[in-house]
Amino acid sequence: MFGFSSGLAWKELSEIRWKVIVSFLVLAVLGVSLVVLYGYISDLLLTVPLPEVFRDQITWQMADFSRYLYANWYSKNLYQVATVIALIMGMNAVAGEVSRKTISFLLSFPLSRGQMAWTKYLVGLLALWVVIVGATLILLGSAVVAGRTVDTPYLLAGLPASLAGAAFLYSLSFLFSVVTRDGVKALAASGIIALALAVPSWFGRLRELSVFTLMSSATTLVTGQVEWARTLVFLALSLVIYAAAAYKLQREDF
Amino acid sequence: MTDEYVIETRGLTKVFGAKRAVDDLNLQVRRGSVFGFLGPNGAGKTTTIKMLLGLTKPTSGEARVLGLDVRERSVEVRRRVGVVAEDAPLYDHMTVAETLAFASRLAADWDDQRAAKYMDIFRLPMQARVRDLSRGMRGQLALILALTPEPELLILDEPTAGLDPVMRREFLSTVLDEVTARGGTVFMSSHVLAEVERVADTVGIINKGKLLMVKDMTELKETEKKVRVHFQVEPDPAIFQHPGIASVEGQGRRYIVTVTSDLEGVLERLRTVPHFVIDVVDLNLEEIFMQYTGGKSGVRIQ
Repeated sequence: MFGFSSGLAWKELSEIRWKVIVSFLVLAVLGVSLVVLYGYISDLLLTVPLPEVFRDQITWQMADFSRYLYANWYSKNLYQVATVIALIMGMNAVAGEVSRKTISFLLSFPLSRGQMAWTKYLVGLLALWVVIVGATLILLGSAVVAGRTVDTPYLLAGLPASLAGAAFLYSLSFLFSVVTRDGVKALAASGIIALALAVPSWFGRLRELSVFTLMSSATTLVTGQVEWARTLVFLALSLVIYAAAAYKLQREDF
Repeated sequence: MTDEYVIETRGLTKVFGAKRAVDDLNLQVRRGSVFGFLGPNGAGKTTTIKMLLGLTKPTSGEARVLGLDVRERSVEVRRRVGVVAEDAPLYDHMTVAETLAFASRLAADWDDQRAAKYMDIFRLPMQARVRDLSRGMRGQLALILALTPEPELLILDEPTAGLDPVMRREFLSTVLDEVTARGGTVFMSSHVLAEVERVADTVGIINKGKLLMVKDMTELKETEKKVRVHFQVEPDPAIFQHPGIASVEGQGRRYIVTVTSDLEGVLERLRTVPHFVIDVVDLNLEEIFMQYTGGKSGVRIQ
């Protein structure tokens, strides 16, 4: 279930490289935009009357550049885009091999199904994490280049939760890629589940159960502390979902 | 199960829903032989091969390849077996060179010099994308990937489907030269009877999931005959009731009798009726195949 094949990893990396590059560019552009737009937004907010319900919160966020960056990166842009990237990364992991009929070619080599599952899962997950971490570093770097003072530990404290949440959503998409054997169906099924998972975040008492609450890292925004407990829970759930996918793959006929 | 056989199955069965794709298959393939596995489309050839490679789980029964249980040790089986699957599924986006590099990372006992030797034989363009290769070239590339690790057993599933006759001949010659010359075994499924007739030394016929017969090619040609007979009088139909007679065509005084065993016994029986001519004709593999799969109309003696 956890065997690794470097030969297969090379192939997987080569196949997802454009997804990685495009995802990274989209997120990096968003990150740089946030840095560039800070001055304009600050000026704009002075001239626009804010609704009373948001006024205190927005004023608090805009008063500090690091807080503004955190709120707009983790709590708005990153988790939404990372969700889409995670689902796209996982959708074709196994389904792509089935639809192209290359699964029988791949399994004509001395490769166990466990090796196949773990290698594909790990390569996709690491690529997803590289995109998220890389784009976050671009965000920080562009802030430094723009001459802003940045609280780096504070801004990095939101990363573990985002990575765990993305891993959870990617695992779902990977599972459906195995179950449905069809990339589009896998994307649709995991997308619907992801939407359903957003529902708890609308209710006060259930908020903590939502993966999107975790990814938006609102608690860390206020406290500056990493939410390790929930982060580890979602990482563990990701592994459980992977194990279910690997178990299913072991029993499939190709 | 013994070392003499590279493939042995007992009661191997695969059921998909209501369909028995492979039904109680008992098969033995001798080491060093070229085994032609014949059957019409949908007969169960590919499902059998997939079970031998561990790609599909048998519903019941057992299968051993090179003495290894395919349920338990399919990775080890695939380490020692080369495969060319039907339609040669490969990664279309890769170039020929990238495909070879990919295989070299995954295959056991890959040898770049050996791969280069096969590339010289087939002269494939290294930088061409697989998607741009002709069907024949794809098949050749798949064969290079299967042959380079020098497998003990080469399994070919409809390897020459879609190839022109010249390419088909070149393909099979390479297989024979490279595998049988060093004592390897070839297990080839096909419905192109002429090529099986040319290269196989043992033939098995499967239809509707059932193995109908396995015979040595020489024995097959010696025992399976067609007898043309022109009687002087209309015979009693009971004359055709003989276990060696597979089918009878014709009516009145002229008949064509297909014999699958005991030719002498059948001839002796036919000669008891006054006749003008009794003529024994060799069957080619196509006729034998039709006989077993019921592909030709005719009176089948029960």
